[in-house]
Amino acid sequence: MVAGRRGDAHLKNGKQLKILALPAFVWLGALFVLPMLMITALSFMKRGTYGQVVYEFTLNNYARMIDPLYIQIFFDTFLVAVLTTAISLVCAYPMAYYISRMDRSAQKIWLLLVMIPFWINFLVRSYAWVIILRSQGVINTFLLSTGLIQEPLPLLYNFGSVMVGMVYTLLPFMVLPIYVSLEQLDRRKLEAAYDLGATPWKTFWHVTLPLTKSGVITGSILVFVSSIGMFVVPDVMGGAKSALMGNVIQNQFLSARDWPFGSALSIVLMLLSMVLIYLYYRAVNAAEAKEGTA
Amino acid sequence: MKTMINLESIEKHFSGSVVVPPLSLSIQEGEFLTLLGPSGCGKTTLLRMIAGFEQPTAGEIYLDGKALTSIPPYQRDMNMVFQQYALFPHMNVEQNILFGLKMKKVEAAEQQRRLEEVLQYTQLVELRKRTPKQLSGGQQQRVAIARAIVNNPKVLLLDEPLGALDYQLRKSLQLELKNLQKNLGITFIYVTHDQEEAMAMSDRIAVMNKGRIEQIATPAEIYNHPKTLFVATFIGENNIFRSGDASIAVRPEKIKIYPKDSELDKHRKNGTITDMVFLGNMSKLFIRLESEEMTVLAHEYATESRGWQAGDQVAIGWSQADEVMLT
Repeated sequence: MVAGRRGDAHLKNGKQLKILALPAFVWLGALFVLPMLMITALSFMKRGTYGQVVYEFTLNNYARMIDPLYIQIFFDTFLVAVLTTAISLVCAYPMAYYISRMDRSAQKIWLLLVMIPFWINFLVRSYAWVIILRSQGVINTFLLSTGLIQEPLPLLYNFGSVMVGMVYTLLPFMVLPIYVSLEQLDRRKLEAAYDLGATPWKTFWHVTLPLTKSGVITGSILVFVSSIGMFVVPDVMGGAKSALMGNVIQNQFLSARDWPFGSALSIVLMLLSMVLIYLYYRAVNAAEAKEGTA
Repeated sequence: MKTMINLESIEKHFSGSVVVPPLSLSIQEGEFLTLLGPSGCGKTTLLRMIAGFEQPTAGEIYLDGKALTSIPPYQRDMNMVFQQYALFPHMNVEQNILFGLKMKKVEAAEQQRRLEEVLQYTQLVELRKRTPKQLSGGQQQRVAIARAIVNNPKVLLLDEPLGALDYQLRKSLQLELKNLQKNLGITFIYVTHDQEEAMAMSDRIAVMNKGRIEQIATPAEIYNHPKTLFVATFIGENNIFRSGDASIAVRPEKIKIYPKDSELDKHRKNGTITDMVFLGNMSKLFIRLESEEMTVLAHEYATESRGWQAGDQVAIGWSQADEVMLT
């Protein structure tokens, strides 16, 4: 009924509401769509000897990617992104659930705590992790002084430290949308499930999770997309060995001065992410449909 | 008749304040019992304690002789029809109805048999593939009832199930619900603040006020012999005459109107008609008394109208048999 009422309001004021969207529309048009078109065009150009762009059509930038080196980096990038999304989801859902069950004033404090990291510069936070994890860092110093270890543990500049940094950075993007969908969930629907004989676990599986699906999808896409393009974390915490696509693209634009190749890499990365998001979306919906009829 | 539900000195406190003081109540098998009272009287809390969504602070609830307090709601052999229905929006009508049977792992063939039966019974066969959003309020209500009764519960709990519907629909569903209850023979515990609804359907009504049961009796008994001032004024309209500590109640339809000064005594007083409200089959007359600060309400049926007008000087009276002493 509520949805119906909202729908009516939109229909009546459709024209006026369009005006509200205009500033964002202009902004996106000028600062997102146009650059995207430029990047697309650039990806079919040639690089001159001194790094300038030569305006001649070529497919060479795309052909260059069919190289085990780049394929490996694409693979690593998607692996890190998928793992980051999965770990964030597993950590964020219980946390969001816990927050949504507290009383109002406590919820506000907890949401504030979730968002506080955003107030500190991202680069500074990444270096804080370096201080914690490096061989003379907080953890190693402590473990050495207790005598539990003799040699410092290699906690930094590996796959694990990249994952730690990624999940740490992106977790709030998962918590917030899931919290919102849990907050909107009508508790009587859960009581109805208990009433019909569902245990708390079954209630979660058959009612709570499907009804908060939108939050899970939104959070997953936010985290996945952000980790696909991430270059600060692998740069600062991953060291030389763990270059991800974000770092390669950054290099093409800044160090190698090969803008056409960097553009081509960006386009392929974007297309691949879209395919993956689409597959994820379909998988979630298919799981739900199966759930309903099972 | 055996006792289906037995509440023994049930109490409920919320953060220090007493919502339900110690209360005992027993409900017979196959009975239609209504908990009736204004909002905040504790009727919903009582129902939620029976369902298991609230824990009583003290006391014990028995279902068919079995103590319930330590049993979680999903193991209690009763089902609830929720206010606003609480249907599952991501499931269609069939899936909503089958949910309980699946959770209890009823055999597949039996699930289908019961589904078909209940779809027929609640006239939902054609709507079986619709989702709750595609249904009207009345249809959603039928799904909520189907989803509950398909489990063959010993007791059906109904929390203002007609509250969200318009007046006409509510009227016809009252009859349907009553017939449903008679045919199924399930014990119904029905919560409402609508006295008309309670009167129309119940075998017994428990009138609640401030967490207490003021009176529990048949609708006729509640109407004709209210025990307390609260019951007398909450159910239907009433005139309360006070003399000293005692109060008596006389229903408006029992008040007779005579010409002024005719045979005044304890049961006959002079007054002036201040207002008349025409309701079709009858009129409501408001009569300001001379002897005391009070306006009496009288019903005059159209068939026996004597043509009284606002401003007329009259005497009102009633017979002793129509007085009800209140405590």
